[in-house]
Parts: sequence; C-alpha cells; structure tokens
Amino acid sequence: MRNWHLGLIIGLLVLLVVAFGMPREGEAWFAWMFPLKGEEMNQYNLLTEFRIPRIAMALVAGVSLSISGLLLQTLFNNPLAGPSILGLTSGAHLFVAITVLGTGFLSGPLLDAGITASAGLGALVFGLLILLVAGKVRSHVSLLLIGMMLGTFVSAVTEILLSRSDPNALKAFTMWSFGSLQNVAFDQLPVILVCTLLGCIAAFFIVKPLNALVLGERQAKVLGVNIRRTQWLILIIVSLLTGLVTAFCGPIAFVGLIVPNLVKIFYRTGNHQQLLVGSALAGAIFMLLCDLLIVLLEPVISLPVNSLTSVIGAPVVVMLLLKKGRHA
Amino acid sequence: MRLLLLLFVGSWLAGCSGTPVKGTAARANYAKHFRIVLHDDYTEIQLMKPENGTMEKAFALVKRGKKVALPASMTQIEVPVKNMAALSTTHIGMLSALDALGCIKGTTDPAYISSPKVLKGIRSGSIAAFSYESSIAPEQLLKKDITLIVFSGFGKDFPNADKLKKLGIVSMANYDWREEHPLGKAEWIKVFGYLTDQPEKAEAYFRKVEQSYNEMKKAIRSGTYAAGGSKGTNSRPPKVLAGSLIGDTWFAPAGQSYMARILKDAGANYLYSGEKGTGSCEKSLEQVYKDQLTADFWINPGAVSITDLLAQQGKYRLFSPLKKKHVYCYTHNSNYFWEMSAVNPHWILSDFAALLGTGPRAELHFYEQLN
Amino acid sequence: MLELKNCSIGIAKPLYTIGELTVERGKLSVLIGANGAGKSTLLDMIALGGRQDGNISFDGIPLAALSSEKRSKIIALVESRFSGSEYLSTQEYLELGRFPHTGFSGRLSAADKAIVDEIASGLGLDHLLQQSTLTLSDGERQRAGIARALIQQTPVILLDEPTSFLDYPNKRSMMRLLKQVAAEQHKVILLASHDLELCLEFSDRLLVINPETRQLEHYATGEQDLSSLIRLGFGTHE
Repeated sequence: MRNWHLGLIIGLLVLLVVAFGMPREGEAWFAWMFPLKGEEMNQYNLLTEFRIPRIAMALVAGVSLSISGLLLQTLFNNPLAGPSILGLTSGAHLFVAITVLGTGFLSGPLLDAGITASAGLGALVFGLLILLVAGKVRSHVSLLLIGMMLGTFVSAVTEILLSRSDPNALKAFTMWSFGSLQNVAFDQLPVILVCTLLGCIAAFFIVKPLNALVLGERQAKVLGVNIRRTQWLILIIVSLLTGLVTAFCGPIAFVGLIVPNLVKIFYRTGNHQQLLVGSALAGAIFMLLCDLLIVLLEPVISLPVNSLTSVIGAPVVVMLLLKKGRHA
Repeated sequence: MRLLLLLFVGSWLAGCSGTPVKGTAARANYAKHFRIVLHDDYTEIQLMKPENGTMEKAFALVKRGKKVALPASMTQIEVPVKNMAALSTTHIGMLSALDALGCIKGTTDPAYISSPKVLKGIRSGSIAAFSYESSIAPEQLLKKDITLIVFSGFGKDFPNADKLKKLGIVSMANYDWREEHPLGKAEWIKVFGYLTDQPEKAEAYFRKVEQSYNEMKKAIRSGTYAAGGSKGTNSRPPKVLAGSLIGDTWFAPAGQSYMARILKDAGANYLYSGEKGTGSCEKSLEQVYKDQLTADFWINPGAVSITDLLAQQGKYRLFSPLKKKHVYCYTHNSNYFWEMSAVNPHWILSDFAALLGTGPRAELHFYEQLN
Repeated sequence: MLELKNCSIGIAKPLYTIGELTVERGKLSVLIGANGAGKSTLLDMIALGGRQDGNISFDGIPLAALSSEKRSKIIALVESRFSGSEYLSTQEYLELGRFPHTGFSGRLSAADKAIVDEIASGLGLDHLLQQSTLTLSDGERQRAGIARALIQQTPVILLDEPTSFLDYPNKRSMMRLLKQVAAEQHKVILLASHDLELCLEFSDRLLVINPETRQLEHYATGEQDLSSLIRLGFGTHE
C-alpha cells in the first residue's frame, strides 16, 4: 500500500513540474521563468491568470470527483456509481441555471458563493432522489440506468428553461456541456481550494463507517453503523465536492467512476483510508494528464475536457461491466 | 467572320460589366454561386454548387401569363413572385433594398428579424413565421398562397421539396451566405431583382453599392485619409483582433473570409490575415492573449458592453484593446446587422474605416463602441 | 438472557406470534420452521430492530430503544447470504468484526488483532487470510461469517442457516463449536436451521414455528424426537 502511495505522489509531482514547464507553441520549457525584457508583466499574467488556475482546477476536479465517486460506490454498494452517471452533475447544473437566471443582480464573490451553494444543493437533492430509488432497486445496472435517465431528463429541462430565456443562453448551455478547466480566475482559487480541502478532510472522518458499508447496509448496521447519519454525511460531502466542480468546470464525466475502480484494482483493499488517499492522488494525476493532452493538441484541435474524459471513460466502464458481468 | 468577332468582343465586354447578355451565360462579377442568362421568353437563373462550381440547379423565370416551352431540367417560377417565403433575414434585407417587402408572406423566427414592416406583418398574421425548415406545414404555405420558398442552401434539396412541387410551391436555394467577396454577397440582390421583376432597380442598387465600396477601398489604400489621424501608432495600419471565445476555443475569421477581406479593404492589419481558409480559425485563449498584446482594436467580440464582455470571461480584462476601450461590435442590434449588411457591405467598410481612423469620420451604420 | 413478549412476526402480514419467550445464556437454541415461515424475519427483528411489534429485551434492556452502536455490542448476526467484496481480503473481513470495539479511526489494537488471529485459526481460516473474500468457497465463507460474529464478542449471536453449505463433518464440528462457545462463554446462541437431526443432537432448546397454531412453541430438546418435530414444524407430513 505504501508503495502505491509513494508511486502516485512521485507521479503527481513529476506531472506538476511538467505542467508548469510545458512550453506553448514557439516557446521553450519554463519560458515564464526567463521573460524577455519588457515581457515580465505578460509572462506574469500568463502564469497567474492562465496556467496556475488551469493546473489548480485540474487538481481540484481530479481529487473531488474521485473522492465523490469512491463515496458513492460505497454508499450504493455499486462499483458503477459516480457523480455524473447518477445525475448529480445534471442536478447541480439545473440549480445553477435557476440561480443565474433568477439573480441577475449578484456579482463577484457573492455570485460565486451563490452558484457554489446552489450547485451543492442541486447535487444533494438529486443524490437524495437516487438514494430513495436505490432502496427499491435490486440490480446495480438498474440503478445506473435510473440515474442516467434522471440526468437526461434534468438536462433536457434545463435546456428548455434556458432556451426560453435567451437564445444565447442555449448556446452557453451547449458550451457548458463541454466542460472546461479554464474558466476560473486566480482570485477565485482560494475559496475553491479551501472548500475542496474541507470536503476531503470530512471524507476522512467517516472512514470507519465506510469500511463497514462494504459489507452492505444490513451487516454495517449490525456492526454498529448509524446508517442514516452515514448516508447523509456521504451525500453532503459528495454534494459539496461535486457541486464545486460542476459550478466552476461544468460536467466532467466518468472520472468519479473509473478512478476509484482502478485504485481498488491496484490497491486490493477495503480500507477506505488507503482508498481515499489513492483515489485523490490518482484522480489528480488523471485530470492533470488530460489537461496536458489538451494543451499538447491545442494547436491542432481543441478538445473539450468532458469529451476527452468520456472518450477514455466509456470504454473503461464497458470493461468493468464485462468483468463484473456475473455480479450485475 | 467580323460579325463573330464583334459578337465575341461584345459579349466579353458585356460580361465585364455584369450585364446579362441574351443567350450567353453572363458571369456575375463578384458572385460565384449564381449566373443569370437572358433568353427571349424567360430569364434563367443558375445556382452553382459552392464546392466545385458546377451547376446545381437552373430556374426559368417566366412572366405571368406567358406560356413558354422549357427544357425539362429547368424549374419554372412565375414572376413577379407575389407571395414568397424568405427564410433567411439576409433575404429580407435584399427585398427591403428593392422596396419589395410586400411579397414576403412567410419568413423565419421573429426573434431574429429587424424590419419593422415584417415584424408587423407577423404580429398581424399576414406573414407566417417558421422556426425550422423541417417544421413548415404545407397547409400554412398554401394558406398564404406562397409559390416560392427561398432558403439558405446547404447542398441538398429543401425538406419535402418534391411534395411541395406537386402543390405548386417551388423551393430555391440561396448561396449568398457562401460568398466570401463582400460585393459577391451583395450581388445576390440581382436574383431577387429578377424574382420580383425589378431587374433594373436591382442593378442600379448594386452599382451604387459597388461604386461606393470600390471608391472608398481605393481611397483608403492610397492613404487619402491617413492625414486625418490614423489611430494606429506612428501611422502604421491599426492592428485588429476579431472574434471571441466559444467554450474554451477562440474563433476568429480566417484570412480569406468575408470579415477578413473587409478589414483588409478598410486598411486594417488584421491579426489572423495569414490564416488560410474562408471560414473561422481556432485558437486557444492563451495564444490569443499573446497575439493581441500589440493590438489596437477588437472587432466582433459578441457582447453589448464591457461589463457583459467581462462577465463572459474575466481574463478579457488583460486585453490591450479592452484596456484602451477600442472594442466594437454590432451586437446591440445584431438582427439589423444580419439583415442589412449582406446587401450593404459598403456600410461595413465605412464603419470600419471610421472607427479605425483609416477613413473619413462618419456615423456608424452597424457598429457601436462598447462601454 | 433474551426475552421476547407479545411479538407478532411478519413483514407484510403477521405470520405467527410469540406470547412469551426467554432464550437463555449458556444454551444452544435452534429455530425450526418451514420455508417462508418467518425464521429470518425473527432474527432480523432482533438484530436490526425496525418495526417492532411487542417487546424484545436483553438482560432487562429493551432493544427497540438502542442505537445501532449499542446494539452492535450485544448482538451479532450471521446471515445466510454472504456479503463480501472483490477487493476485501478475508483478513479485512474478519477485522470488521471488531468494529464495535475500535475507536474513531477503526484501527485495530494489538489485542484486537490477537483475537482475530485466534478465532481465525480456531476455525481453520488462517491460510485464507490474504485471499479475496470472493474467492472463498461456500463452506469457507460460512466459516468466515461465523468467525466474524465470534470476533465481534457479543453476548448474543444469531445465525441464519449457518451450516447449509458445510460438508457433514464440518456441520457437526460447527454445531459442536457453537454449543461449546455458548456454554463456555455464557452466550445466547440462536440459530435457524433445516438440519433437524443435528439440531436434535446438539441443541439444548428447540423453538418451533407451528404453522397450525401460528405460534412459536418452545421445548427442551429432550422433549421431542424427529417425527414429532416434523409434525410440529411442518404439519402432518411424513
């Protein structure tokens, strides 16, 4: 276990160095460290306004979505659970759309707070809905399907809502669905990072009941877990983390689903302390890799981040499904 | 032999002036996607495929009441067309220039229309509004006695074209939107001229536009107005950024596109004039930031105010043209722009020349400075 | 001891009632009834709480009012359906049995680990500890389930058909073990089973769900033999 942690930490550090140094078209590595005379301000802007927020959001998204995915998979005892596939992301977006439509007067940090809060609330409401349904559904795949239908339904409603308000909003909605790690300003980062950290720390506080939940709700209850309270805590943490990412990056699919599964395959443990650390590190690495790929391809083609994670994620999900065929 | 020579020279000369010659396929001077051929009993309009320049379809415009024997491949249209469905707002603009708005009985979504007369017609019910081409019910067309549908061509037939033909409704593609030359686009007014049986009016209007455009272009090139104070630094041509972010990608007009050409004619040093293509080119925001550091102007950002612009993307505040407040767009009245600019490119040229300082000071037709 | 008074057992509708029943410490008690008679339902009711019709208490403490945390120190449940996971090793599975006794982080003390090791080897599981629970055979899974309940160290252990997948020698040794544990550790052990002969051989008390009287009837094991037991629990069949 220690080895995996160490390996992931080293990998992450290497990637961070690469991300910071990666040259853009026509530049050298770490060009921003050696600006030409008169170029200092511009290089400073390029670093602080463009590069740092992008790298930071890749980390935030990777960590938040992976931890959310792990928590959801344990909560529903379903390896195919994840924040976007169960419709939590769409729910978060619906609430953000309503907030933005309804509060034209908010701006700046207040708007940010408002959007984050409503995104979290949206994810929570839909998480509760799915939880309600999960109790009535036997098979893992059925829960998935219901979640996907819920997500599709909500997205359609949001689209209709937005298109009635303003033709440009509809275009903006379509753009939103591409996902983006580049829409955050430098001074928005502190709040985002603090909230992410809070969510992650909270997840570590419920490691004990999470470990028991691996045996299923009944056995966990017999072992002494307060099921209701644990379910609520999981949902609140997931809503915070998922809401945060959805509010600032849009939907980024499959990360929450595949990263925890890959971590479990390699770590081979039910101990959530290990799994949380592993998922956070692996998630950060995954998103950073995706962003680096997007940067590399920028001169040739602009790849929306949600499309990239979907292209990678969907085949992995199919592989997982085939592997677990007998348990579905 | 001399007669032949005369005919040859005559048709060549006529071709140069753009006046259609009897029986000869006359080339429109600027427009690439249509040709007009005058025959004894009818006028032929040929639509050319934008991809390869081969003929897509031919229409025979026959005056009302006349009976003419036509080749089977041609589609007959009775002119002047009294009831037309004009599905693009540029068509409205051209018909408006011909004072022929009265023949519009069907058109597109009123959310995109600027013409007060057409909007009134839609409100009163005398003009039908269709949102999507595929959602047009033939009953609505018949109710308004529409005999011709003009739509923005996309290489295929209009949905249900053959069924509509059986009902006596002809559908005609319009490729003005595929023309890259500013005057080529405007020249399509001639097509509408023939459809409404006012060819001379159309020719006259276009000649005026052509003259105005070319004269200004020549004057700008010769530097006639430079003394007035170009807003570029050290009277170098003003550097212009165009386009905006959509999602994570910046879309800017490519080097041979419509906008790029007008900018060039207006004496601008357009940032991406070197990009090949007639459509858009894509850039990352970071790349655009680097490129625009020395830019003086920003055209077509797709916003109505600086506040609006910054709300779209906070990083715009780092852009030089924005810091200088040299940002211009038509978004405050985009319906009017899309309706009227196609047939009046000289107004766009005049706007650019005025705001860039490469031409005479003048009231802006379409553009407004963002505050 | 476990006391049940005026209980009505059934999920949708009542299947049978219990007037007054005490299940004593130190004895191995078995629950006998036909399929669907409501054996699992009774065990669930005691272990998980939920809708309570009637009073269930242990050593005078009513169970209905207890939180899951407190209840987990009193009752362990071995279900017929095994609930492991692909990435859960047998070691981790057994260690979860110490859940009620570990602190906030769930980490096991040296003493906890010793208990796990001892019981694991007592049930012949020590060579399987590093394996994934999903690779265990049905028999090994049942032994693991029972081991985990023993690791939980509760005064009451409820088992739902714990020997159904074991081979005959293992069935006997499991029943012997349970009886021994009940006596030596002074526990209440109640198991539901279909193995009537083994029940008659090893148990001390018989609790029979009588489909005709729709009551839970209790007898000392010596009072019944196989045929009377069959008649009681399954009606007048052969």
